Amino acid sequence: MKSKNIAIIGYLYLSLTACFSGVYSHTLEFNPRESLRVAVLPFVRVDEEGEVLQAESGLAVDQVPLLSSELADTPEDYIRKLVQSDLNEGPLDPLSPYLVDTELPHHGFGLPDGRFDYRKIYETPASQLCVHFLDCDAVLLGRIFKWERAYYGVQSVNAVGIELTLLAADGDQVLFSSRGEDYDSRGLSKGPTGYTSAVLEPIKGLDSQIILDLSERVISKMLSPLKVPGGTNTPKTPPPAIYATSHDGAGGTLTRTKPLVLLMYASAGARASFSIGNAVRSIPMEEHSPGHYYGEYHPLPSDHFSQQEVSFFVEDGHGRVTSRVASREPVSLLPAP
Amino acid sequence: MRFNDLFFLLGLRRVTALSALLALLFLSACGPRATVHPGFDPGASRLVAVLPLKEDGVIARERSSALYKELISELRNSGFVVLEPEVLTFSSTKDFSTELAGLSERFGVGIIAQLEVASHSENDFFLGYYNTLAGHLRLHNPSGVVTVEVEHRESQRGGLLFQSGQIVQGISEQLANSRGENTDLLVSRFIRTVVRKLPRVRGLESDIEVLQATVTKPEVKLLEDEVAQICVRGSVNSIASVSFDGQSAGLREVTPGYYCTILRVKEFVERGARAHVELRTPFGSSRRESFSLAM
Repeated sequence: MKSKNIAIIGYLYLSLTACFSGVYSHTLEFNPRESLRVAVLPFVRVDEEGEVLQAESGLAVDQVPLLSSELADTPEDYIRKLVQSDLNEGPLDPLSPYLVDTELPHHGFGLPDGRFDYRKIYETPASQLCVHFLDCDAVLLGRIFKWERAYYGVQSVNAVGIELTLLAADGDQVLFSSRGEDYDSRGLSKGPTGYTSAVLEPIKGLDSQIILDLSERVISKMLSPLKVPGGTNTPKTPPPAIYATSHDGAGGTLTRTKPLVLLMYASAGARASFSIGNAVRSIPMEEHSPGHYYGEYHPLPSDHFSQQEVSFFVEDGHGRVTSRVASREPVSLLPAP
Repeated sequence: MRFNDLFFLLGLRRVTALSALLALLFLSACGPRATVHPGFDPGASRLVAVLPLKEDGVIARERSSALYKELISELRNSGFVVLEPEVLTFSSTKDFSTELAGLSERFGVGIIAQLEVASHSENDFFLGYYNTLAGHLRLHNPSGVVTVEVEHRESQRGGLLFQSGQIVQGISEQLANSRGENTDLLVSRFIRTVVRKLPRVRGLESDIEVLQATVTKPEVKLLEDEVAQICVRGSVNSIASVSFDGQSAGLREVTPGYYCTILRVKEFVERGARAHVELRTPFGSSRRESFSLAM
């Protein structure tokens, strides 16, 4: 009898947790190492049919008195900010939100009351937005199809569902799409320790901080394919290596009559470059034979610097970069007479 | 003891217990404290430079770096236009006011922000954890005067010790803490809270201009058989680069708004590389112009 009760409780627990586990899916049709300039458009709430709902002005994230704190943002604004912050950490180049939010109304995508015309924004092709005034390579659309907090007495459930779509300005091709739906619950499914906690914990689960933290986790998971160089396939090969470097800047002072010649022996098939301090950035090197790289620095008439280190860089096809500072002394270039 | 005295004492204890509970609720709900000084100008420019964090070793370098990036992101999200950290030159050893005035003169920033981390602790008790982060966010005007100051202490607790009513939640939180996920949330909550407390700045109409980068079609001049000079005109004080099939080379600002470099281009010409120049303003917006290397 006791084992039967334990089995029933176990079955109920597994059923409850199974109901409230996250579902994520994505498609990736471009190399995320490509530094695309992305305009993150204002996000929208959508209904079950996917129709855009016009946002109510002044609607804050839900507040439950004594339990949760009020935020000034709507769920759409809050999630858009999370996405902006997350994209800033990756190779994509998001446009300034101030620029996007200022230019959209100026070009007819605002309503007389100052709100965005979301339906018009989401019905306009990306090419039109990017080419005509935003000057971007792609636009990122965000649709929130679920933002719920439900209280069931012995359980409370927070649910977030978001869909992100990255559209190319050139032809409106879908470069990346990601759909995430996840839950965070409090109460029976999280193992209450007594009658008091069985009653109190579902109520505490209505704290709005829980749904905000859940949103942050969902966005982080949804955008993770964009952060890994080359997509989701983590390379198992070792990163590129630099075996030897050299340059002919003998004595440390360069001349303007001939270029500085640089040599590097490193992993074959990589993108190689060198820099001289902060004065000269990222000059490409040529691979003359597998693993043997050659570069030249030709001074401009305006170039001059003092005691700058020469650094070499190699980058493989997965975006991994190895660098090394030349072992020779720093170099200087006197101002042109 | 008389029955009335006992009843009175019991009543007093109930009131005391209730007061203590209320006090605990209020204390736990204490939020950031913002002070707006008389010198604050709500009509000032919304161009902001964010100085390196002041932390005196109270926080690990990777956390400090995450805090700094999160601050820049959140300021951008809040409508400020933030100077790119790569172009920011600031020396903590030189005169503070002079450095700020230099930033304002060079880039036109109206606000200089700096976050000072007062304390940071991560305490893992195995059965629970308690993490805190406290600091001040200060806004200065170009003269170096503090105009706004926001002080906040964010704390975070969990694990079985603090989630005694939810076993699974407690274990889940403890595991997340051991992976460092909770500290990321602590940092983002702290930054979000302090930035949200900043007073609104209307900004100037000219602020949008710094986000409108300009760049011309590049001039390509063959100097020797395999070497070419590539020059381009555009917004001043910008970061310019030329890209061949995604491999970038930096251009130097020869005169204000005129950028050049000299490169070996034989390999790029031979494989017909797609070339474009890009100009990125000090405030992060960029413009590209494609061109042909065929000579």
